Amino acid sequence: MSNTPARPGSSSTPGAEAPILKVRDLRTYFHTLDGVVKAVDGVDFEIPRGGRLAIVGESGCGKSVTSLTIMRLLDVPPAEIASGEIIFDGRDILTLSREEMHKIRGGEIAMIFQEPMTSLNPVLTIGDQLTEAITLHREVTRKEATDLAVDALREVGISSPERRIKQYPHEFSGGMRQRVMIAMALACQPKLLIADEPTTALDVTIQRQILELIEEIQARTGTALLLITHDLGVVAETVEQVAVMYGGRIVESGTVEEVLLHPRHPYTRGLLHSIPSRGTKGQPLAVIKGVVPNPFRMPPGCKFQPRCPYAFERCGEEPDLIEIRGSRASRCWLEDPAYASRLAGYLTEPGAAGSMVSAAPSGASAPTPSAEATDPAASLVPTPPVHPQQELA
Amino acid sequence: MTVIDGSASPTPAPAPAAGEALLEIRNLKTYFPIRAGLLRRVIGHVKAVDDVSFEIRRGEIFGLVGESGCGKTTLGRTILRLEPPTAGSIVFEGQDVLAAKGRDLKRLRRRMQVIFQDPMSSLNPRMPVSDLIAEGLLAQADDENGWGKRAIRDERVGDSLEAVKLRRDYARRYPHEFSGGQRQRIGIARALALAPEFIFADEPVSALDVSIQSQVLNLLIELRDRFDLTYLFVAHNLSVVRYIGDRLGVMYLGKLAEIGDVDDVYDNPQHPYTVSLMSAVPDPDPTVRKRRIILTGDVPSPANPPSGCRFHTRCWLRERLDNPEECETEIPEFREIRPGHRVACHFSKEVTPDTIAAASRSGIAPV
Amino acid sequence: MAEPQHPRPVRGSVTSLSPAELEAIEGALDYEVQLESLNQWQLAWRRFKKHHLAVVGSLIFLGMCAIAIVGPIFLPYDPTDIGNPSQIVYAGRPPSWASGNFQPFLPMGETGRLQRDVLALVVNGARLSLLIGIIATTISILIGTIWGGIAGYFGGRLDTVMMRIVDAILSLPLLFVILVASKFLGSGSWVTVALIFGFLGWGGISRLVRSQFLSLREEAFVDAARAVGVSNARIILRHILPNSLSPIIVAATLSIAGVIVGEAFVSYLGFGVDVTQPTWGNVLSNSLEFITQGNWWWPFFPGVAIVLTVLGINFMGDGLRDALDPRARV
Repeated sequence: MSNTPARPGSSSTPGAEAPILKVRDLRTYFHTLDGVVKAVDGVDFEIPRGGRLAIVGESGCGKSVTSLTIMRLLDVPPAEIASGEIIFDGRDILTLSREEMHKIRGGEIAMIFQEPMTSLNPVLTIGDQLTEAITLHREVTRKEATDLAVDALREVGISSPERRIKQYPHEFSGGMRQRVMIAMALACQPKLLIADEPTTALDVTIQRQILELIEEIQARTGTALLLITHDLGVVAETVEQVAVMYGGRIVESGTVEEVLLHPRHPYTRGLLHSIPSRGTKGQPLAVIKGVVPNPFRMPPGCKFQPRCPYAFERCGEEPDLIEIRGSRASRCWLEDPAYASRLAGYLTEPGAAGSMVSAAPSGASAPTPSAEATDPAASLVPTPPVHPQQELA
Repeated sequence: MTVIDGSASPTPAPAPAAGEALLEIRNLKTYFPIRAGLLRRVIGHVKAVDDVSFEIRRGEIFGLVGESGCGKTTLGRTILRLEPPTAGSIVFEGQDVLAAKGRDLKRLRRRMQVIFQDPMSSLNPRMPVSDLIAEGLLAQADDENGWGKRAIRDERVGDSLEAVKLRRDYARRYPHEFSGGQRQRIGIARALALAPEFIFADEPVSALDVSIQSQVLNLLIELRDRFDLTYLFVAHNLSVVRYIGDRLGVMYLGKLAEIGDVDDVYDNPQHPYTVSLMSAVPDPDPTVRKRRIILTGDVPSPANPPSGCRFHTRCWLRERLDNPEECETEIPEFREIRPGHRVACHFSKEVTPDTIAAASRSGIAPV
Repeated sequence: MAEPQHPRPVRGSVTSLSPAELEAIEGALDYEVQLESLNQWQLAWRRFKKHHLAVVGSLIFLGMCAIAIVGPIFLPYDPTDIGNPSQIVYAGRPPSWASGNFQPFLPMGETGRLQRDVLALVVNGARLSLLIGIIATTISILIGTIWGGIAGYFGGRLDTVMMRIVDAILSLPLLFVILVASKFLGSGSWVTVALIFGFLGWGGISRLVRSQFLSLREEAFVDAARAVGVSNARIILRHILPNSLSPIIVAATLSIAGVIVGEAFVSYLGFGVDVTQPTWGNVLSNSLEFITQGNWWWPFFPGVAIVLTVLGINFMGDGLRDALDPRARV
């Protein structure tokens, strides 16, 4: 077991300035009539100033709850922040009072949501909602706030903003509403932007517009970005660091190149191998057998173990997030030095770390030389995986 | 492939390249009237499907893509007679679909089935799985098939469940007891129970988690091979369609922009809209830096589509060519430019790697 | 045209899945599918039981029904027995436990002018009050559901016309109609009262049902049923109606309560049931003139009966609404 704790998301240069967000051992539980749901069960990560981290996972993994906990938008009860620290700009915001959190929310940490249709109040004009956000966090007159709002709309690419500011949300399309949300989020110049599935509900060409917008603004203003999504393509193009969540915990972390091209955790591997863009026509797609566990009946030990083709006896005990190097980590016993030989076998399997050469000719790429020089499997095995995995209900 | 029923592993179906047309659609129009006022007068029409012609061959998986408002779902629903058509014709193996009434329509329904997008709402929560699947059998029972008898229906329900890799005794359970992926399988089992030839799959995997999508996609292909099915597969996820589809059609604002073999359309798109659509898809490989063509503005409303070529208001090619007039005044013909590859664009010849490269840009697209 | 063959599983095995498959599925079963299979109604019952107030309310309501049915049999004396026929203006006797006079035993006291025992009145009144409530409600629900269902399912002009008729009915002043109706149908009979309430009260329910049908007919599972060739009638009966039952049931319970109170109101105005047939409403209204003389027990007990019953029904309705909510998870 590595002595240094894993630090997903951290920048590789030691001694760099303090991260804008540091989450330590965060646990959020929900108390329901049928029992306790441990939605987030021990999550650690950090985001450097101006940095970009994505949390990736499927439904039920806890990624959205994580972001809502950071913003303290959960109803407590039934939610309970059982433990952990969220250190934003040097302060643990879990200890802040309601009023203090009010100031931070929207002003220093801003959030945009998935459904632009419902995130805007339909009975207020866009201008009203924008100026409300602005006047809440900045010392400006109403007139100044309106001007700032117009500027914000222009910055997100909405033409004739002076006219549009008087319009109502229903007069805007989905993509434009999301732009308005971004404008609202950035109007107060926050230090951190949390985007929870910002483009999932949008068409792919609009998605492209929004992603470019986020990228451009973020680069210009230096706002840090926490992106929550299930779309691996969006992750690959938007962030530098990624953390994969499963069953309320982070199971793998690292840079996007590391995680998406050379996945280490069996879940990440399974996920990346099963997406259709990795499939070969005429051959069945690789499959992760089984289903995401019922949160009321989580399996003992490693949460992924029932579905893992590489499980062995040690997996009856839950592994820690084992550091591989810096921000690179994987929650799997295979990474424990005691099982180094197993790891070697696992990594050299066909379809092991590195089969990320896409089948599509347009995407053919020679991956950058892997930073994992110590891995014998750094060279790529370009064949698609041939897992005798069973399909299941 | 996993063996499920003990019999020999099913052999893959022969390539359907030379398949004859199962479904022929000619000049199909589906307009929805817009009503206003106390007397509900018609003040306009939403032109959801606007003069579409193509054919679907037996045994193939025909992918239909496009963004919201393009009419792909309405097209499928019109084929299934779930929406009233406004004009045109649909011929299913020689039988006129749009003119069928009463008993004929009922028989036709047996041969064409549907899989819905949302596994949560497509199953009646108050009915057990067995009733959900057997309902169609009961509605279509006649002396020939014997589906009026309970025992035969139960047997068929069990067979359908097994075909989608669910246990037979799941028939007793209720939809809320199943996960999303399982519910989608139940929906597929319901479609299979009537032994159809054609299935309209309306975004069947869009609402499922990524790891479940591959299970269901594999299942759909296996079923196609096993039961000689033909799919109209509507999706907005282009990589799914690329994997599963044989041929691809791209729709924009009610019209077909391009049609052809899947790989051909992906690798050599000839319509400017297809080009930007393909370039917009994010790639999970971070080392790939795709060249993007970003479209300006939003999709116009299908109630008030642009004149001439529907795409001309956002077309990068038109801009490059200094806004030629035809784009605005004439509706382009849906022409075959290569064998099997049809495009509706006045200037499709100008769509070359050079022009595409020149048009790629980044930066915020104004709206 | 020959149908493609539906494959038959290999005979001889219980299911045709191989042992490995079965084990793999059963392994996953533990984590995914529940072990017991409950339908929606059983689930609703479970949720209902957790709602303690609703359970209490239902017990009260059922208790009242029980009193209505078997109560009269258990009265300690003849209800028509008149205690003091010679006294013309008679103030009536207070309850035995209040006055200390236990001969005869009067748990709820005795009325004045009528010289009837209040206990007898309340117990007998329960029968008619509840009957009026239940019958009127049944009529309203039936008419409202059919009317609203047809309007909502078929939509278009039919819907518009039908709903405008409902608007008209809802705008009729209750009093006028009762007045007119009692002129024509003869006042005083409890049946008349029940019928009037029933035939006037279906407007709100029809709107409710109409909006349910309107939204349900767009559901994917209705499309699915249509796609396999199910007839309209079957779709309404098997798909739409069962899914709209929850608001209908809730509306029904609230309607019973409303009618009971309405009957009291109408009796006070003199158009209610004839005094010879006691209902809580007419007992209450006849008693008010004697309050000034200190006869608190006369209006008190029927009033308590009404309040208890109405509260009980309302709590029950609350519980039903929560229990039948289709969005509630297990």
